[in-house]
Order: sequence, then C-alpha cells, then structure tokens
Amino acid sequence: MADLEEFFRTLLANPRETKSRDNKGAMEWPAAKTEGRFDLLADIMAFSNARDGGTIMFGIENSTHAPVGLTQAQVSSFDKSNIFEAMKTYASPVPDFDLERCEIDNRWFVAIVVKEFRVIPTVCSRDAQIAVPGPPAKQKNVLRAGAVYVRTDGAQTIEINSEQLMRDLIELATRRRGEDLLRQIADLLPETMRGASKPPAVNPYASDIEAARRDLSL
Amino acid sequence: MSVQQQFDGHWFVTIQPLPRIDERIPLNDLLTRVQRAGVMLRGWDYPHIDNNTRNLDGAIENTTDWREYHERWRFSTSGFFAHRWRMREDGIPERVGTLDFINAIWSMTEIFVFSSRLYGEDPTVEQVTVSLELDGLRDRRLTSSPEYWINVRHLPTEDTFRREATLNRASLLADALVTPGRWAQALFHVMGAPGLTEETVRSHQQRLIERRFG
Repeated sequence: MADLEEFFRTLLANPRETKSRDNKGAMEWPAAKTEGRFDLLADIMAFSNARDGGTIMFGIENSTHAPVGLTQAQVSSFDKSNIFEAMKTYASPVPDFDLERCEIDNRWFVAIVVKEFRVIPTVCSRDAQIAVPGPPAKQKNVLRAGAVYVRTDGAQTIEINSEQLMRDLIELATRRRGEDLLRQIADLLPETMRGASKPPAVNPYASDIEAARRDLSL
Repeated sequence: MSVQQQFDGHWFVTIQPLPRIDERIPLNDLLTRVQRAGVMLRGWDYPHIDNNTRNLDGAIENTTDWREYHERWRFSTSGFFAHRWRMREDGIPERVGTLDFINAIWSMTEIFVFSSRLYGEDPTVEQVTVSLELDGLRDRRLTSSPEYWINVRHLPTEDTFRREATLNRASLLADALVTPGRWAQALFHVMGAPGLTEETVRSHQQRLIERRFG
C-alpha cells in the first residue's frame, strides 16, 4: 500500500532515534526467555505510554543508521499474534500495535507501530527473569510486575523512577480523558453553540503575519 | 521552463492565540512548549524540530533544509506561531507538480492537533485563530494511491487556497478533526475532486490518529 511505503520511506529518510522511535539492526524476533525479547516487550509498553505512541523499526543499524534490511527468514520470524500473546502475558492493558512489513529499494524492513494507550497507561503485570550463567548460576530480573515503562527524551526505555515522569504520564492520561469527555459534550451541543467563533475586528497579529511572510522564505 | 521550475508550492500556517498577550510565554519556555505540543503520529513530526533553533527578539526560529524537507517556523512569546514549508511533492522528482490527497488531509489534521495541544489548556487563551494558505496550486494534479482512487476532473486554475477559522479553546480541543476535514474537502473541490465526502476525509483522519498505515 502506498501509504505504508511512504511511512517506511519517511522513517528511513529520518532514522534518528527519539522518544517515539527506536531502531534495531538486522535480527529475528527473539526466542522466548531471552533478554532481547523482554527488552522489546518493555519498549512496546513504553511506547504505549508515550504521547502518539511510537515505532520500533527493524533493519536499521543502531550506530550508523545504515538501512541494512532483513533477510526473508528474519522478516518471517515476526508474527503479530506471537507478539500479542507475549504482551498479554506481561502487560496490562495489552498495548495496541500493528506489525508492518515493507520492501524499499530491494530491502525488507519490519516496523512495530505502537499506539498511545486508549484509556489507562500500560503496566507490566508479571515479573520476568532470565538465567545468567555462573558460577554461581543466578537469575536476572528483566521485567518487574507493577513497573511502568516510559520513553525518555534521550530515546531510552526506563521504568518510571521520578515524580516528574509519573506526573507526565498522569497528565497524559488526564488530558486524554478530558478530550474524550469534551468530544462527548460537543456532540450533544447544537451547531450554534460550538465550532467557529468571531475573530476580532482588527487582527492584533497583522504585523507578525506580515513579518512571517517576509522572513520565512525558503 | 522545466517541470521542476514550474512548480514551487508551499504551505503557510499561522496559529494566533487570543487575546494577544505579548509576554504570554517566557522566552526560555518557547522550545519546550513546541516540543510538548508536537505531533508525532507518522514518520515526520509536526512541526519538525531540527538542532538549529535560533533566538530572535522575542521569538525562536527553526529551519530544516534536507532532501524534500524545506521548512521554517517561528514561535513568539505572544504565542504566535507561523510555519512555512515547501510542498514535499516538489522535492521528489517523480512527484513534482502533484499534491497527495491523503498527505494533505494528514497535514491539515496535524496543524489542528498541534494547535489544540499548544493552547487547549492555556487559561490565558480564550480563542485561537488558525490560518492556512497553499500556493503554487495552478495546474497541480491531486493524486492518490491505487488503494484510494479518486476522480479528478480538472486541474486547478487558482494558484492559492486560503482558509481561516477562529475557535474557542473548548472547540479546539473537542473538534480538532472537524475544521481541517472541511478545509480538505474545500481544497479538493478547487483541485477538481468535488466527490470526496466528509466520511472519506474523516476516515483518513482517523487512520492518522490511530496510526494505521497498512
């Protein structure tokens, strides 16, 4: 589909990792009970808790941003229902996401497109541990029940560890709820009571607009 | 004249919070305010923020000049926001002289979503005027994809499309899709595709909001 190709092309043209974007190199969807798999689950939870969600793009080298692409075997290893089942085990509510594949200039890429949470933020619902070879052999916690994962401005996935991060998430949830409520109220109002207002008779920004027209030349 | 030289289209947007308060936003908070209100639903954010923000007298300005992305925006302490960008289609050789109808719907929608985030909860703002101008439209072909075929009857004879709306803050928050949807329909009418219904436009807006690209 043309929109999907455009979406991938834009992501490839602009490969910088951000609060809403993460790149992974050429890889398969990790096998069960590996740190890599749990890291990806944490990423998906964190993007679910971000404004506008986020995208994990597979086939782009992390350090160089080179679009290396994936082999057919790697592309085939990504299955939405498998990822959903894994998320269902560890996240509540389960994040909403799409799994997209696209061939661009003879290279295949995969993207997990995560949507922002709808009603309440995503919380990790179960501990996950992996075995760390010894001696002595031990277990390493990689996911924590009750943790809320978020993305930072530095493009990292972390567990909420500060008042500010918690307030930001609460504000996002509250704002979303408020907007939904406003829409419901707006639907109940007659057309005359909503929509357009009268602009001022004299535009107080007339000189700003003129300056912008003049200065913002390209 | 080459096709490249013939077509040089631009979008020009302003967002004007009312009443005007010259020092509504402290200078040091301007960039953060734009970052927090930014829309990142698809591969390119609105507005795009490059690492070259420069300080002006009572404002900041940011410029992007890269591949098909040529844009500049300014944000003032009064809260006035102005953004101009070159139609990306004119920066892609095989798409010069066209306007993708879905991208147009999505850009208009992003403008209003951004506006609602910028001022939706600012108690100093009673109303917001959003203005939009597209120039370079004459003889420009509205395009679609095979999946969303549209019937274009003629090329536009008018070079500029202008719209302006003033909304109170609650309407801006509640109806961020309505006004851009109507503007998109009006634009497509001018560009020879009057048959695009409100439902079609709304469905594409929802696709953007829900991040459904496949």
